[in-house]
Amino acid sequence: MKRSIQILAIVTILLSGSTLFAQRGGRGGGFHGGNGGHATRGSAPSSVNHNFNQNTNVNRNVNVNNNVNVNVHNDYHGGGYYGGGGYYGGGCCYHPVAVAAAVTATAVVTAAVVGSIVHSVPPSCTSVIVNGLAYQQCGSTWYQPQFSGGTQTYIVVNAPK
Amino acid sequence: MKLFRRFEIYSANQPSVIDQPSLGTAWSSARNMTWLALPIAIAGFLTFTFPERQIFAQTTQAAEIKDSVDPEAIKALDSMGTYLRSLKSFQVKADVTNDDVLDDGEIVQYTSKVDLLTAKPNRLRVEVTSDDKHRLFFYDGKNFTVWGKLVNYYATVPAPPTIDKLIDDADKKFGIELPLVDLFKWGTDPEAIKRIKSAIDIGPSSIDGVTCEQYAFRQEGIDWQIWIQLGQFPLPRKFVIRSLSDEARPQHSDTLTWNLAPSFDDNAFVFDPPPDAKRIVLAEEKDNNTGKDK
Repeated sequence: MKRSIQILAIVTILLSGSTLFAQRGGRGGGFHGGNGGHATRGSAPSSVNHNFNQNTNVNRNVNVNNNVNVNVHNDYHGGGYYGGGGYYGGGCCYHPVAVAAAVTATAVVTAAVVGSIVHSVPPSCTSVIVNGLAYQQCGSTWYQPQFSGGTQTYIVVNAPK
Repeated sequence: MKLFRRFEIYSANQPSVIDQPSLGTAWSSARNMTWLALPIAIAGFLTFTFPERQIFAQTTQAAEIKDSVDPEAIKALDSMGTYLRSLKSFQVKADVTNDDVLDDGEIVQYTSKVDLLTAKPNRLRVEVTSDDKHRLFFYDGKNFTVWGKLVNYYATVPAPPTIDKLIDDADKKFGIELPLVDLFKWGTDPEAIKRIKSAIDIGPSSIDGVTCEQYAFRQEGIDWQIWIQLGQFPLPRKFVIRSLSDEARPQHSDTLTWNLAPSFDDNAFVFDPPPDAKRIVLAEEKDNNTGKDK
């Protein structure tokens, strides 16, 4: 009896260890921090004296999630982009919910809507500096990198002049 | 391990619990049966009067019924605030944990490190290192720069003249919660003290080998605790904030290491972009109250 418990404990430790490893590996710089692509409803407050508007943050996340699902996953996810993905700080796509959304959504490729926000851009984009500011140009679509709250995102803009 | 430690703290303080029935923990309640009748009656009244508080009635019973603000605990906060404001410059490093709440209520904890250097009233440099981000914030009294070291993007905007105003601006205008802002805020707003509904002295507690006094506070939406160094230098060594506005009750904690005689020059607060760093914009917060995705 005692031995079987020991074995069970060891197996449990091994299993949990490998699971943790798999998650961390799979996450690849992915969804946390900016919560991009990951359904997060809130976070702990970091201050007792400052009246941070928690709801604002939550809303921002919701917006980002929607946009990511619509504008990025449908267009680029299927093409095998993102696997390693650690580079673009905000990360986006590991979470199974997001993946499921991408898979089940109809595979219509639409042009990115100006004003929409994504956490990463397609790999084919080129970095362009206009008036001292960085952009990512992807064909006719221009993404402007920005810091938005604690996250670095890309907003789709009209071609800069 | 932590759980055990918590229990030891409570055990160690049992005598003072008896001395001060106003503490009103579950432990003390059991030992103070006579104190139970009145609280229960009032709790019943509160539950009836404020049905929306019903969910929390059980856990917050003690705080609801006994406005137990220990003046010594408030005084300790004041002394700490006064002392912090007397520091002309300091460097503090923090080990941070922060809970995110997933949509289904699951808690996910993230850890990060903060390295903050300030020369008051108008210079601040903060470095935040987490699993997937490495951010630096520079403020020299004129400009505020955010640099994402990994993505190698930076954004610079004109800044207000003091750290206090910068903290507010960063939050309200740009949605950036600078870390450890409480170090600058404690004791500056008399309203903040009034928000505290319960304040108790938990007792001595050691943080990284430094003997502190641990205090616990309750106010609208949050429970929080602070460990203040005992002796001549009442520095906060640790604080923990738990949100009550989400039923998952996510928690944030900072454990601090202080350097009260940092060496630095003015350049520490000025961002000098590396040759390959690219400038981007700092998005202004939109009025989220009208967002249709709300």
